[in-house]
Amino acid sequence: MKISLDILRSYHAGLPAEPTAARHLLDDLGIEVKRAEGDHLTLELLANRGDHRCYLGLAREVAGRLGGAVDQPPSAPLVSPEELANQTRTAVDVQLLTPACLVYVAVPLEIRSLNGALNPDAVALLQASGLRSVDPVVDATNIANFELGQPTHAFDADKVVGGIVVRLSRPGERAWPLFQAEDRELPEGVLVITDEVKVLAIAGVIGCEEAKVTADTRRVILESACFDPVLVHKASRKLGIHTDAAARFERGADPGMAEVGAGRVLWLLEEAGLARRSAPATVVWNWDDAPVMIPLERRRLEAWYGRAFALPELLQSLGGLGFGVMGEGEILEVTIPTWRRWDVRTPEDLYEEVGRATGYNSLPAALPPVGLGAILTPRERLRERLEAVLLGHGFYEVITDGFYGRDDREKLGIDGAHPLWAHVEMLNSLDKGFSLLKNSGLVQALSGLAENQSLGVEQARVFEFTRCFHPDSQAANGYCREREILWLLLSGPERDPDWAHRPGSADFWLCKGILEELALEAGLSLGLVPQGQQALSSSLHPHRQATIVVDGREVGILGEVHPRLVKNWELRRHRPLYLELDLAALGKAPELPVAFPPLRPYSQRNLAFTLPLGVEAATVQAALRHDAPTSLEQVAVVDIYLHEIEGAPVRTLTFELGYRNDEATLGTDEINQLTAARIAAVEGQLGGQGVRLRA
Amino acid sequence: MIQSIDSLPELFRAALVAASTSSTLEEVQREFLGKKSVLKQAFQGLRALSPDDRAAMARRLNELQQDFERQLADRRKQLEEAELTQRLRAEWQDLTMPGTASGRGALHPVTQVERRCLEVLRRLGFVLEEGPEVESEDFNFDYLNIPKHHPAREMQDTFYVTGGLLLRSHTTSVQARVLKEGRNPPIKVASAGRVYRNEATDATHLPMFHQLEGFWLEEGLSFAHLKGILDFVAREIYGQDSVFRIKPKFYPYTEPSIGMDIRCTSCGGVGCAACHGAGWVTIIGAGMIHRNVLTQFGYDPDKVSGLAFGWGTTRMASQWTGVKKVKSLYQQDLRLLRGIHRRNP
Repeated sequence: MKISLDILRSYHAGLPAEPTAARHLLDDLGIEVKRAEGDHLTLELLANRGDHRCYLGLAREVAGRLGGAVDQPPSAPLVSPEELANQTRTAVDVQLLTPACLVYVAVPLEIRSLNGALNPDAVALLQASGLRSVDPVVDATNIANFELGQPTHAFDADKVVGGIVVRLSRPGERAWPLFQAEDRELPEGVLVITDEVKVLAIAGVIGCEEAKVTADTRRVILESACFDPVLVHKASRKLGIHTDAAARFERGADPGMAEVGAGRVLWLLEEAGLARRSAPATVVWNWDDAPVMIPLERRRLEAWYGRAFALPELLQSLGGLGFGVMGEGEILEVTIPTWRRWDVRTPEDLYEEVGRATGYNSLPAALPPVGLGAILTPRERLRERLEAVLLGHGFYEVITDGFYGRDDREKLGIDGAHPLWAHVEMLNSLDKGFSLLKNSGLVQALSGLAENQSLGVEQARVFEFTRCFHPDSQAANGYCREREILWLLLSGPERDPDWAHRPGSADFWLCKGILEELALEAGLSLGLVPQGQQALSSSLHPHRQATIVVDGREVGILGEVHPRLVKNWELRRHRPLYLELDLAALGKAPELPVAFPPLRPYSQRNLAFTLPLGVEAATVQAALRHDAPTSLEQVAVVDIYLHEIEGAPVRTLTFELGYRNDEATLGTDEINQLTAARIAAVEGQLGGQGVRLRA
Repeated sequence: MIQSIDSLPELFRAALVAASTSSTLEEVQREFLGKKSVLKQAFQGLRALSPDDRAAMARRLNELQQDFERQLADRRKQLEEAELTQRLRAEWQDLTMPGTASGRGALHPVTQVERRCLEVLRRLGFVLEEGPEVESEDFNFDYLNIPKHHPAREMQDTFYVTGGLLLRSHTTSVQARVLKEGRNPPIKVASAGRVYRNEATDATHLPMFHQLEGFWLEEGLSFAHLKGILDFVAREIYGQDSVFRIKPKFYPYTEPSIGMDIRCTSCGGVGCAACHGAGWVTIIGAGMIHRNVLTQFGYDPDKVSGLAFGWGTTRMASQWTGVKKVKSLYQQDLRLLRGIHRRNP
């Protein structure tokens, strides 16, 4: 809303003359100044304060703070003493067929001249509000709205057939709102102003073409009313028509202002000699005008703000804002003004009035006793520990927005039968890129990598703690369940390349090593099962992926991104690695026991076995451990040699066998015997598969 | 023997001077003090001397041995110093070459801001609680005194997934969930995370961003306490010397509702592009929990009161990093994330 400080000062003379001081006062009252250009301000008003949308409302706020009277512009009477005395009949028949119209005023006017001009001060107000002049009648209604917050509307009386009826629209009923190309069907239940044959206006929103005032208009029916805010809001939204009148009515207008507003328009037109009232106005009331009272307990008010309020202070604050205050004791009876009936309903609403009028910044502040403070929750602690591992390995946390479009799903190369196909879908996203809620982190991980590669970033190590969404009719909300995951992606050199290092690409084993570090921090014993049947399995290289298992449960997957996806996302050079962990599953796993330092010495023997391609290291490790005594503490791969035997590619793996006996130190002969038994075990179990001890 | 003993010091000095390395010095030591040295042979010959001569010769030999050992030690030290100096000189490195440690990663700026805020709230006893992102209209709107006709509920403002379910538009839904459990006061809860708005996306409007908030329910809490909490939290986050102000606001779930502004740190309050000319920037929305909300969950608003406050951590991260286009914070741009942490993009 745009205003002029000079004009506002004409409503309350106490408004500071200095623009900056006036601006700060308005800010402090909740009338936020978004822009100031000399005397002219652009305001951002509170959403619930429809009464602020006019000079009178703003002036009342100033009066609540500074005291003093508010000067209201003059209004013309809607019926003269003579007409009252003579019981002159009204000229417009009005019927209210719905309680959604609280009051309706219809003033019959005769146009005397359309060439005159309104009062220059009033026109200045229109200009300060940023509105262009249309014609004197429309201008007068707009001016009265900005002055008093009462929207009014003018119908060409000669286009109105019979009387005026306020009712809800009927099925199939049509209307032609102003400035629209043609008429349209109205939704049923819209509050409308009609005559005997047509809709004259969408109540509180906009008039209609078929009764609009034109240069030929000679007789006018001036409407001033108060409508149910919810119905006006719904009509405005359903029709997609947003007007100043709708903005005012949907925030709750003042039923007590309908007559005053009509009188103000009449005054402006009569003063300029443009029109005159031709008969007494019709006023139909449909609301309970009995005073609404709320008791104000002073002790509670003072406890609320932590300070005392003298009665005169309360009288000035509440009185300045238009509230009536009765009583002098502990409990005051406060009468709510008609323009605040929509938003002042509770004792706390009254506290707010007092607090705002006093000034929140001048009220005391007190830190309550806060106790000992709190510590991290187990979930927070787990997450921070996992983060520490990843940061140490050079990962950056990213946050993705949770959505993607169907085009992105297409890149996965899956069909409707695939478990990744089903997504939680948005009913109403404005952007097709936000159609689907993610069901894994992979799509966004790859999209982010592609974006970074396009920006020239070669090394990418990113992770995200986030949620995935899965359609699930068995979920608590009957529709979908949320799954918390940690995903990470590695691509590019295995370490930061520099003048001293020429690192190779990050590979599966680096990713696996990081997973092992994560597991240690989480206190978990993880297992890996090559390949698997998870939803993400088809997105990873079939021979370079593993299912992550904790305590027999599948909790995630890691592996090299499938070449097909690498191509679909137009990734280049390095082979990205992706890992996804189900965090909820992690949190439920039993913790690893503490590994205390041993008391006895550790002895080791290295054994090199030659393996045909296809035989896994874990198979040999299992054979080495099979039926081994407990003194065999460790079996670890420590070296690899790729070569050929008789033209066939083979791998020679060196295993370190670590021995320790907690009861007694092992002797050399004993260790040699144990090792010989291990060799025999491997050759016995795997000799048929071509596994041989390398001499 | 006596004659040869007499010549030993001279010979020893010459050998010592000639020894230019530690290893040649060891040879000198073996030659003059070793088992086969003239000195050791002289010691072995003492038994053949008369008691008087033996004592005199023994004294002489001991003095010589001690003198040689002292000179050897001095010379050894001298040579070691020289050798060390030479070695160090040979080990010269070009220290202007870049460091080679692999860089540490970093948390996202929004997470960092969130952690910093939660740390402050934990000092006040607030415990983090979480809630679903796919939320019901009940928890997102109805329980929070947001009526059916409120503009925030319009389809174009909220992402709906199916009848009655939507993507939460604020973290206040967590407040509703906690209160729904019917816990006994005092209750001090913080919530943080993603929220969603169905807006046309541009550089500053996002379909998803982050919020953080806290609420406290207890008998006797007052507006003065709310101000005290806000003052503490804002000063801990923005600095003790920052200047703040409170202004009236409107939120359906609090009454009264207020906003807290910080005097623009870019212009000091005179108005600039960063504060859109206002001189102040809003940082916190807050209020006393509305009695309709309390009543909804069975709390007696005449006995128990609550305060609540919250802010956008995305916006705070934007202010902290100087990233004006907040959309870029969510685009995984590693150049930006590295740059924010002062690493070479």
